[in-house]
Amino acid sequence: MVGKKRSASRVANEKTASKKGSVKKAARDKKNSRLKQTERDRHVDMALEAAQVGIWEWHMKTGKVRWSKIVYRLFGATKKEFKGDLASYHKLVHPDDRENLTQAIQKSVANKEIYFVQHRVIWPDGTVKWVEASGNVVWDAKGNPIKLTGTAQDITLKKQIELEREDWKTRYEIITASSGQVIYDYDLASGKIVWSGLINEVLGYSPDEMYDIVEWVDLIHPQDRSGAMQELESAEKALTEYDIQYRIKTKSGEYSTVHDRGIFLTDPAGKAYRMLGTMQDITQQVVAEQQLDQSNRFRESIENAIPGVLYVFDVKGRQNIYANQNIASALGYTNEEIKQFGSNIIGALVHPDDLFKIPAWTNENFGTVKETEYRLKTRNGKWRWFLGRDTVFQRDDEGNVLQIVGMAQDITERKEAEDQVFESEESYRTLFNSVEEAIYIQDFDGRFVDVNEGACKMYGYARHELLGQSPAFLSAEGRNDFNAVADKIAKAANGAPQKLEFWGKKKNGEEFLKEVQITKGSYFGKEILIATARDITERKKIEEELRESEQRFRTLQQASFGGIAIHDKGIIIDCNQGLCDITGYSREELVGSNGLLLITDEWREHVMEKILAGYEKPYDVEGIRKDGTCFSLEVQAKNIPYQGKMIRVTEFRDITERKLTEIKVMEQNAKLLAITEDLKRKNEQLEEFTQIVSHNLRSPVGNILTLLSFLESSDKEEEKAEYLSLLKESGLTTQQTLHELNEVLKIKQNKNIPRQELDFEKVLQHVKSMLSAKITEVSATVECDFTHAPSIHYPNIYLESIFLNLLSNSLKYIHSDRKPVIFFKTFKSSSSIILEVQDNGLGINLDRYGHQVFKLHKTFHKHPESRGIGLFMIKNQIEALGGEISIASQVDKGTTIFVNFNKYNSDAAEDSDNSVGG
Amino acid sequence: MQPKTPIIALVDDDKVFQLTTLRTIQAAKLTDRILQFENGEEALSFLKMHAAETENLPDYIFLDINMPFVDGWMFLEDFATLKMGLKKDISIYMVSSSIDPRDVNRAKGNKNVQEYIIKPVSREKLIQLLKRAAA
Repeated sequence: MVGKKRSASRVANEKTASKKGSVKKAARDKKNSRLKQTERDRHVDMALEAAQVGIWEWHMKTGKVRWSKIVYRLFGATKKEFKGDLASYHKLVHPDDRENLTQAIQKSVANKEIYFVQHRVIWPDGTVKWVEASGNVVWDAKGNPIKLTGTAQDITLKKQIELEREDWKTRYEIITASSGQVIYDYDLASGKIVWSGLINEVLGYSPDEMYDIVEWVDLIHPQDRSGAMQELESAEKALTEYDIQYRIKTKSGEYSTVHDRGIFLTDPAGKAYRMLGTMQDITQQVVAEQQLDQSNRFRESIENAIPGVLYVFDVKGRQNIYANQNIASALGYTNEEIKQFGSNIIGALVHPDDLFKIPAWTNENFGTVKETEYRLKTRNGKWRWFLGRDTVFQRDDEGNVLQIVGMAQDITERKEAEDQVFESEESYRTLFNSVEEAIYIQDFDGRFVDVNEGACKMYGYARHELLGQSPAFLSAEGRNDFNAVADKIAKAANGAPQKLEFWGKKKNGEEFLKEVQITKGSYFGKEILIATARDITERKKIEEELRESEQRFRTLQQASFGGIAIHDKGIIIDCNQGLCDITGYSREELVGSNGLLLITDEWREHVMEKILAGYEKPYDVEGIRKDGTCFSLEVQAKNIPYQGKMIRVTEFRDITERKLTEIKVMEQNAKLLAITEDLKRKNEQLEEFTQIVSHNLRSPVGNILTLLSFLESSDKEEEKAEYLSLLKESGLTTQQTLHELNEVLKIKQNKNIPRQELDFEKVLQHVKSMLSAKITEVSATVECDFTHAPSIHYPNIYLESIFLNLLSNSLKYIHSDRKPVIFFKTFKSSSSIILEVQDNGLGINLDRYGHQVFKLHKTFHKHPESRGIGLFMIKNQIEALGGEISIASQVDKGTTIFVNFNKYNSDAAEDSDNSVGG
Repeated sequence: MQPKTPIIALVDDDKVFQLTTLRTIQAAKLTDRILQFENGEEALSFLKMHAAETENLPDYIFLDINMPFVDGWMFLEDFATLKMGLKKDISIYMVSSSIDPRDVNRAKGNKNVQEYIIKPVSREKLIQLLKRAAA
């Protein structure tokens, strides 16, 4: 373990030692190289100093700019003006060149190319110097620019020489290019123009008289002035050549036309600062040109007036002697070139296929015209069609034609149009034949002018066999009515398209039925008839089947009780007799008309909605007949596909009867309801009667039996006497009750008790007189108001009984705290007369006792006079005559009794009485 | 120990019923404590007045239906609410001359009614009833 450790440490020491050694060596090397470096640097510095080349460096990250002493010198700056950054560097650069400088830097960095720029420097004292800088971008390993470093030197002198040389070069070029012209040198900044001496000759001015741009502008003809100035402006902007003609006033006051051409010289920033140019008087030239122009126009117009190429041709020498100018425009050849063709002119120009057409001349007379259509080759190698009309121009003594004169007109366009016609005829025929149906083009006599392949195929004939034939040729013997056919053809010729069926006979003798449509048309400019035929043997068969099925359908429709219509969005396509019966229209009237006419206005929209929605359930609407009467209508429709669209088969059912029945049923129901009500009331009355018997009659009878048994078993005389007395009492009670019940039964049975017109007022007076003692005793006030219903048709004893009971009740249950006031009032409500009797008495708790108010022997007050018979009795009286009695009351406030005399006295109630009675 | 003598209340406007029942009870020596009321109103005010007095409250009530003012049905309605405050369980027998099935059913439907007895009530029936009740 120890040994190992020691050896490891020794190795480490050895390593340290060797490291120390290598460091020494590196330091020695570095020193050597540094010596070499400074030595080299000194050489470089000396060289740079000698060449006045400065070194600069710009760290892009820190933004610091370092200059060598020479650079400071070049910029005429000290550390005061130059702060060691880009901004203060820029400040020293001429403003016009700063942009240039920035771009050069960007360009160098972006394209990784050498940095090179020439720019002006303004020294603090205002001196302008030219500096040329060049350098390289230093990149790091990742390719990011670190710094830009390079040299700078003064090039002011070089630049001046250069500019001057360029200046002179330009001047020289202009002079040589346009000798004899006025030369000018225009300084843009000052506006001064320096003219060459020639200006005196040309415009009559001395160079001093037109010393600046304002003078020049003033002399330009007013009409040309703005044009000349605009051109100058745009040329300066775009740095293009200034080239314009304008009129300028000469010293003598006349205008000369001058051609002015100039170029701009630019500073390094690309700005124009000088213009050099020439000015030439072209007045004479313009006049000459104008004259030439006029004569040319005249000549051209003459030549243009002659249509086509005019020529004279030597028949013997087989060459052209003369051709007018049109040959150039027509074929593109010059007269010279035409001459060069010599005797070969026809062979050279005429299309080989047309050579045979070129007429030969022998001894034709003057005036003989020969017309030919032929193609000629144009100078650019294309063929054009010409119509040549030649006539004899010269003959020899023997009459042989020597020369002809002719005119050739370009008819290429016409020819092309003809070709197109031909092509369209071709395409027409293709189309004509591609139609499967048979098509015949017929003249008005019916003869076949043309037929298509379909027609040939249909009959088995070739086209030529059919042309010129008439329809009779294709007819199956004896099966067609040719008078009718002729009639149809005549009508079609008059412009009315016709349709007919025709029995055809094929070449092989087979007969078939076809449908023919004939319309008027035009065929290559002629009026003709176009007949299209279709073999309908098969279709006829299907139609026949369809007709049968329709027949079946129709039969079914007719058999149906309701009306049936087949319609398409309302328009009736077909209908049955049933619909006619319902609506009063004939079938002819209905078919084709709108089915909505059968519906009353207010329902039409509703029906249309159903139609559009394809509604298929039955619904009720109101129908209207032809005679304008309305009726209840039930409509139900089914959508069915028919000939590719959806149509509706609608059934119309006249439901007037049903509706009437419905109303009757409803009426009957109402009656039944009334009867039921009546029966219910009657039943209630019967139940009440049962109760009366049960309580009021069984009770005393039961008592009699009990008392009798007690009487029998008793041996004490006192007791016996007591029982006997009670027995007597019970007997009387029974008798009384029986009497009362008898009264009630009488009331119930005696419905036809005679009635008379009764005055409420009189009845009340009578009752008041009967109870006058009691009224006086309690000092009651009885008031009344019968003005709204003064009288009633009613049995006298009942009305008296009612008044008597109500008044006596009110007088009975008076409130001790106040003076009794009883108020009688009548009024009419609908068809009823109502009596209202109001008192201010004790009142009654109706919640508690309401159910027994009008019951027999019910009393609600511990009152000696209460017997509980009055209200029960009058209730029976009132009800027996179809009335009703009710009560409203408040304890300690008073009671109001309402009597509705004829509540149930409706017809229905009376009917029910009759029906029950019968 | 001898069973306590029951108290019987008769609620009926029928004088004959009152008398005959009274005589029957007395003859049978069933009890000598009989309360007589002419209508429901009187009986109800008695019960209200003596609600806490077990020695005065009746053990049995013979109740008629058809009475003036407060009838048997109205009595039963009020009794249903009054019952909670009573110190004693009271058995009610409805005694009526009505053979109307509606009355019979209505009485049977009332849980406070022990039995519906149709008048006239024979002496034997009354004795049997009272004996059974007293047992």
